[in-house]
This record gives sequence, structure tokens and C-alpha cells, in this order.
Amino acid sequence: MNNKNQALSRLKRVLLQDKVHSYEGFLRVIKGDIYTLMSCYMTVKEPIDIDFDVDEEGDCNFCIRVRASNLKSPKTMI
Amino acid sequence: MARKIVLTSGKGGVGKTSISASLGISLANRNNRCLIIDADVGLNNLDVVMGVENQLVYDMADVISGKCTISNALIQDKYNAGLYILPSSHAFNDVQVSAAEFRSLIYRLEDSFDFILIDCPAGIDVGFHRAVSGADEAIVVTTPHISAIRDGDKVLSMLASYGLNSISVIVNRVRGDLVLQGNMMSAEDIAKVLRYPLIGVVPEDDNLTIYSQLGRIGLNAHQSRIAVDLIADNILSGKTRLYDPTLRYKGLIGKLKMWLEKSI
Repeated sequence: MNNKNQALSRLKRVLLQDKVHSYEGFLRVIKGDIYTLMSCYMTVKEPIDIDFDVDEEGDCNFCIRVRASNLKSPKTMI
Repeated sequence: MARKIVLTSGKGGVGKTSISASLGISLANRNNRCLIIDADVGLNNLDVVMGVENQLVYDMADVISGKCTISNALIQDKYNAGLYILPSSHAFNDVQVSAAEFRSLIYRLEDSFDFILIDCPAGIDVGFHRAVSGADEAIVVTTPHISAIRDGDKVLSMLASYGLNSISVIVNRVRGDLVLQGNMMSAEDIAKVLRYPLIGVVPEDDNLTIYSQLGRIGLNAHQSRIAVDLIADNILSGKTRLYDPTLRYKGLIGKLKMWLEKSI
């Protein structure tokens, strides 16, 4: 990645951080909620990984990676 | 009735005053009656950039307080009969010029001109609100530096609530050689991130610095002059023709120029 592209991605991150006030804090809150939600259905094995970026239309694209085991069957959940 | 355009930025030192002055000259050169108002109360600089500081007797604050008439305070440019400057005070208390008073002053002037350019102070406080409240179009000036773009983004968010007819972006001080080398964001990249249309690209130009400190910003034919002329054409026509700062570094001679500049 050249300096221009690095500057561009840093700029996007800075602007996004300004909008959500605290980028790291924002991600921590989302990760916590996702962990709670997904733990109802499975055993979450590794820390949840979230990437997100803003596209040209200003929409956020989220990419969430979760590694899990012991998926609970619908019967168990009931 | 005049088109009232505020030139704003957020961050100081991005070239608002130089671009306001150059744009005023370009519009006046195209047979428009143009007034540039220095809305930076207390930190006035437009008079120095335009080289009219010796002619300054009355200013905007004197007009508002009733000490003089508008025509007493207007300074006609010595090189262009269609260009006027309304200076701001260097000593007037900032809070004493309200947004309503500023707006009312502009309403009194709008029938006498084709364009009123408002040189907005840096920041997003009272001075910003006062300057923007008198305009119906806004141009946000930024440089390709992250700090300036970040402040520009905040200003753009604020401008969205003013109900302006148009909001666009000028990227100033673009280094064509660095863009070509992949070391600087292009103006198009910046406008894409900011999600507002680009109305102008102005290259880094030593001549602009030299001539503005001499108060003769409109007297030379340098690269930034060409770029600002294109902005004036865009404002008048509604089209978007942009200056390409990389052009002079393309081809064999351009590459040689880039190599020489880097070596020196």
C-alpha cells in the first residue's frame, strides 16, 4: 500500500472515529452485544473480530467474524 | 440580486483569504460586479492580501454601528473597477457584530453586486455562524492534509443544517508531483471521502505566497491563477472543469522537472 492509500484509509478511520466519538469504544460495545447474543445459540470460542468501513455512499459495511462450537439445537434452546 | 457565497474551512491557514481574493478577481475579470467581505472580525487580513490596507478608513463594524455609510467603507480595487472590498475591523469586539446585523448588511448590498464573497473566519463558533448566515451558497476550502480535511468534514456537517442552495469543496495546495508519486491524496479522493462535489483544485504555488505578501495577488499569471479562473468559470456555468496539478509532471519533460525539483 503506497503512502497515498495509507493516508486515505487513515483519513476514513479518523472521520469515522469523529462520527462514532470513540472508534475503539464503539467496537467494544458492539462486540459485547454480539457475544451476548451469539452465546445464546453457541459457544463463542475466540475474540470476535469486527471490521467496518464507509463506502462512497456513506454507508457502513460491517464484516463480523465469529468462531464458535457447540451449536445448540432448537430443542435445547426451548 | 447577488449570489452570496461563503468561503469557509474549519482549520485556519488553508488559504481561504487567498482564494476569496483570487476568486473575486477572476469573477470581476469576467465582467461581474463583485464584493469580497472580510467576515473575520478582529483578525482581518483580506485588506493586506489585496494590497488595500493603506486605503482602509472605515470598516464593516463602522457601517453596522452607523459611523459611516456603506459607500464610505467599500474600497474599490485599483486594478479592476468591478471589484470591491469591505474590510473588517481589527479592533472591534467580536460579539458586537451579530449574525442578524451581518445578514441585514448583506441584504443592503445584494442589489448592487453580481457576487458577494464572504471570507469566513476559521473555526466553528460565533464568527462562522455570522458569516454563513449571510450566504446562500458555501464553498469549503481544504488542503490535502488530514487535519484540514477532518475540520472540513465537521464544517460540512454543520453547513448541512443551514439550508444552503449548494455546498462544494475546493482542495488547495495540491502537489501534483506527490500525487503522481503516490505520496499525496488527490483532490478527487478527498472529495469522495467528504461526499461533496469538487468545484476546484488549486495547486501549491510559490508565486501565490510571494505575490500575496506583496499585496499584488491578481497581477501575475501563475498556476494557481489558472486554477482559480477555472473555479470562476465553474461558478458561472454550473459545469465542473478542474485544474490538473499532475499535468506539468507528466511526459518526459514533466518527469525531468519532477526529478530536478526533487534533486534541488
